[in-house]
Amino acid sequence: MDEHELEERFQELLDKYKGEPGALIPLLQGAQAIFGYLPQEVMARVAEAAGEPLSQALGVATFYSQFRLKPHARHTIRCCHGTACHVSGATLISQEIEKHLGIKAGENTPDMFFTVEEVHCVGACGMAPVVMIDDRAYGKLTPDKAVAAVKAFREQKEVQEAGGNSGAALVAASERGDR
Amino acid sequence: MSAAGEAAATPQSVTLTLNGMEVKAKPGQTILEVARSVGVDIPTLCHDPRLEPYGACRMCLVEVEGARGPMAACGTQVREGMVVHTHTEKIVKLRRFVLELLLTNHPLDCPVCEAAGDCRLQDYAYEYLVDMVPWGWRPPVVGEPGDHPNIAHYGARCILCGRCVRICREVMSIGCWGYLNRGYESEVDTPYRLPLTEVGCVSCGQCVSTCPVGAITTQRSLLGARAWQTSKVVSTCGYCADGCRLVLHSYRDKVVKVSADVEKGLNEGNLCVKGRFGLGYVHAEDRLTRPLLRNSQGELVPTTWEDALTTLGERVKTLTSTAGGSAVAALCGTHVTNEAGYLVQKLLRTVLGSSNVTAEDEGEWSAYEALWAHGLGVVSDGVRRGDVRTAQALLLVGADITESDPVLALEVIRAIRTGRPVIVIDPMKTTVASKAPLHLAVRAGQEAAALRAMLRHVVEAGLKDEGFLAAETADPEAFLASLADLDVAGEAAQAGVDLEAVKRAATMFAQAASALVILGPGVLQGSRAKEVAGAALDLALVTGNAGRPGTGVYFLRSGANSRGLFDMGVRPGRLPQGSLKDEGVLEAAETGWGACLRDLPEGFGLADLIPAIERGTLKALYVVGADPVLAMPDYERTLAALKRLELLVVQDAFLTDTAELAHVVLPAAVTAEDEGTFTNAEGLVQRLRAAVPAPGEAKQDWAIVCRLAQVLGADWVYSQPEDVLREISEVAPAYRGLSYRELETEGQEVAAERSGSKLRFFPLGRMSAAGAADFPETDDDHPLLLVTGPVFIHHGTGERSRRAPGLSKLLAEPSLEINRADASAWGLVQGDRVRVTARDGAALEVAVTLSGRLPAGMVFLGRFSSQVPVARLLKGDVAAAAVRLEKV
Ligand code: SF4
Ligand code: SF4
Ligand code: SF4
Ligand code: FES
Ligand code: FES
Repeated sequence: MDEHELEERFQELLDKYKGEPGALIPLLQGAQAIFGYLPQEVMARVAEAAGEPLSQALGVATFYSQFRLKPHARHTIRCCHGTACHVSGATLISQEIEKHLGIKAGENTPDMFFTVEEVHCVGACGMAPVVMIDDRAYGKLTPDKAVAAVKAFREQKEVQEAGGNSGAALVAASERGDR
Repeated sequence: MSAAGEAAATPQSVTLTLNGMEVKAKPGQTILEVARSVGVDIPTLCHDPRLEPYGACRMCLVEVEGARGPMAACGTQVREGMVVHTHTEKIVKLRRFVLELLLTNHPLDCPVCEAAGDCRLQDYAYEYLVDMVPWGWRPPVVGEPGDHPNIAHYGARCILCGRCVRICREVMSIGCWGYLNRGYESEVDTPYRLPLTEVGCVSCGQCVSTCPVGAITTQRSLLGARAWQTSKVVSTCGYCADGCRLVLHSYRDKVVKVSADVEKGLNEGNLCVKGRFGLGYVHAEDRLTRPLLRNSQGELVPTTWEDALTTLGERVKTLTSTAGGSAVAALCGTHVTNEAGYLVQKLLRTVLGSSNVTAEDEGEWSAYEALWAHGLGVVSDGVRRGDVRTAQALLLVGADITESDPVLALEVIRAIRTGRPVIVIDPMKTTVASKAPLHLAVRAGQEAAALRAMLRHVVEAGLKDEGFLAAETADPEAFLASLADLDVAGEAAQAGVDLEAVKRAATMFAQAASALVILGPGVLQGSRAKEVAGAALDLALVTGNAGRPGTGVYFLRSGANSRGLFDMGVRPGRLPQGSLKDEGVLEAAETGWGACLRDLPEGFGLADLIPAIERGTLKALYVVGADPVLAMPDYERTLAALKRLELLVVQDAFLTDTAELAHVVLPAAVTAEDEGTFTNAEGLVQRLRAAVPAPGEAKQDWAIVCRLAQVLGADWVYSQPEDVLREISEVAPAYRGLSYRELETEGQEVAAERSGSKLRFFPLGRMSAAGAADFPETDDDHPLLLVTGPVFIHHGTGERSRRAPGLSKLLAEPSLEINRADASAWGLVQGDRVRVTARDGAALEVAVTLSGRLPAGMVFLGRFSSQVPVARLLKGDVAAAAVRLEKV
């Protein structure tokens, strides 16, 4: 979608909710659906349309984890830091992944391939410590295994994105990752 | 009594038991309010009486017998028979726990913290015997305070009570602060941690005033002082006419801080940027500390009081012996005290024999004076802050109230927030207009037409208050008949506003249970002032909005003692006793003062001051705390006239533009060094107390006037300003019974003069249909209408505010505000410099600010600078001009 089209859809959204009480959250959701995240100028216009100060809109956007204030890379690594994962070494795993990618939690790799996040329990405590890459869960990790999973994921995706969609490669990659 | 009966009848009071004491309370009060009213102190951190209850900090927990757990006293209303314990062992433990938790996350950097000595966390940690924090504590974190000149923010000290967030939203309706993130990561900051100045902050410091710790404080400055080192006196703000009660904190003869008590004064702890951060001028480098006398080389040189007064006395005597007393006039600034103003007019009248005495804002009173006969005593004089608070609808006309009266404006903001209809009639989209439900953006000068349209619609739509008309007004039929040929659509078209919007405004106003009109400086100048005020009066009468709570017409005034000076007779046609035209008043004054007043030549007012000098009838001018060079229209003409005077005496704290022309300059104390009283716009008389001594040989105004009178042969014996107020209370009926003792703890309202007879309408029928005639006409050569008006960071012509670093750092120079469309038509962008040229060729150079509040064709320039004397462009009695722009 080009910029013009995005702007058009955004304006439609703002018009739809203008002056409606309690519109802040739906506006934030709608804006994020359009832009993929909530840039500062978008936040300012959402706040205005919702009739709320920017401080309030930002408070809501930073309160709920569904909202993103920064653009996301194409894929998201979510390192679980819930209690179960925490006690089984999540900190080390995060550190290793961050070291491997050269970024900190909340940041994107320079090529916009990965975003790394720290999250709370992802509901797979049985296989703690857990890392999610997009919607795939990797469990019972060690720092080394975690890095291996990240590498494998990237390889596989790069193959896919390059169009070399060989079934065998896919299966191999996914199995390597899942183990 | 049945349960139903009990519910139906609202009980007058409830009785509860508080720590074993039986206490009576009003229904609806919280446990906290009741406890505080009987002197039981319940600790609070997130509570501020200015805010809605929040219940976040849990410091105020108390035990209520029968309740499941401890209750937050700040948010729990009292009930009949409630038994409350505020300091049981369990509760004390809980509070200690709350404090320990907070201290675990709080840097203990008290020695370098601005708030030390004035910090609730510090107080309570001590009071509740928190001696060691079980989980260890954080090392001191200082951080960067941000670059706002007055307000410092240290997020590390924040206890997340949310008071700053709420005060900026609930009270100011701005919302600079907000929560970010959640849980352990929560913090309070501006959005994107932007500087305050970029998030709409008006620098009021309300957040500073509410922060219970040192997270939002005033910026530290060299030679500041701790709370326990300062002396505190209660005084009154000397800037606008709101009359905010101040606490002045001084240390080593310097005012180091200003605060306000939340529980006292009209302002209830609220202040604007001028009140809170605008006192720096007291210690400005260029304060006058010695009298100055112009020598034979034409230079002003320092001299002694003795010398200055003797010389002055001789010159006045020589001058009046040939030209008579009426060759002398006096002009007061609007922050001259009642005591000094009273003495000035008495000096002129009884010692010199002149009635030429007036104040800088005289023009803004013309409508009030003209309407007096129509029963304004009932419709206007009794209107107080409480009426603005309770009015069910508000109509603001020409009142850019957040700029002119920032704290009174909070009442209007509250009305908007609570969903009451607030209607704004103003060509500009003022701050209030941008938030209000209805804004009638009239063409410049057409406010009266909009009011007439509303009035006519009220009558046509059958919305008038028949009962009130019959009972309270004189000859309503004749008035209503005179409206017959008014046409709503025609008037609306003349005003340049939408017909339906006008009808809606009229309906809102008429249908409200009580409605109040606020008239501001935008419509109080020039010939249309009477027209607008007359239509407002008629509208109030036709809708029955007079003489009861929450109704009437409120006149905004421009200075701290505008009203007081009017009351003191600082007008050619008035005496402290009342109007000079009234024989009874005249007699009372003559006996009171032992002087003959009836033979005094008729005095002239402000508008005739300069012409009288030009005619040669006025030879000497005594200026007290005013700067006519900047305040009067037509700068060059004023300058030339003042230079013609045989004697110009200026009494001020600074060498103002006017003082530079003077023959004698007398150094005066400023408000923070003065004793006396101010009467605010609504008639509340309040004390001024000296926090610090005046510098050098500067003296309080009242004392200077006394010395001058003595030199001129008067046998005045006032040894202190209190003696003057005593005399005022004897001669001025509205001030009867006032004394400093009465005013010790709080202000006293002056009595409203209530006319016994029926209220009279202002005859709209005879009114001109073209209010805009006041404004200079624009044309192809000079297509823009330049207007001026209040700017909240400064006051008047800025003699004081521009010398206060806390204000001048926020706004040093005025810039020309211009509508975006006009700007692009003129090829201008933000920050460009332009030459503004009036029709007579007078010009100024200023920077341009693009503004969303101005309509196309109108530009705005503040008057607070002596570098940019806007007066140069203005002609006539309305502060406006037709101008053109050139980029430079
Ligand atoms: S100074 Fe006033 S406007 Fe600015 S952030 Fe504080 S409360 Fe809000
Ligand atoms: S900055 Fe002060 S007022 Fe604001 S939340 Fe923090 S402690 Fe409370
Ligand atoms: S300038 Fe007016 S509103 Fe501001 S503190 Fe002083 S009296 Fe109050
Ligand atoms: S704690 Fe990590 S999955 Fe539950
Ligand atoms: S003061 Fe009551 S909960 Fe904070």
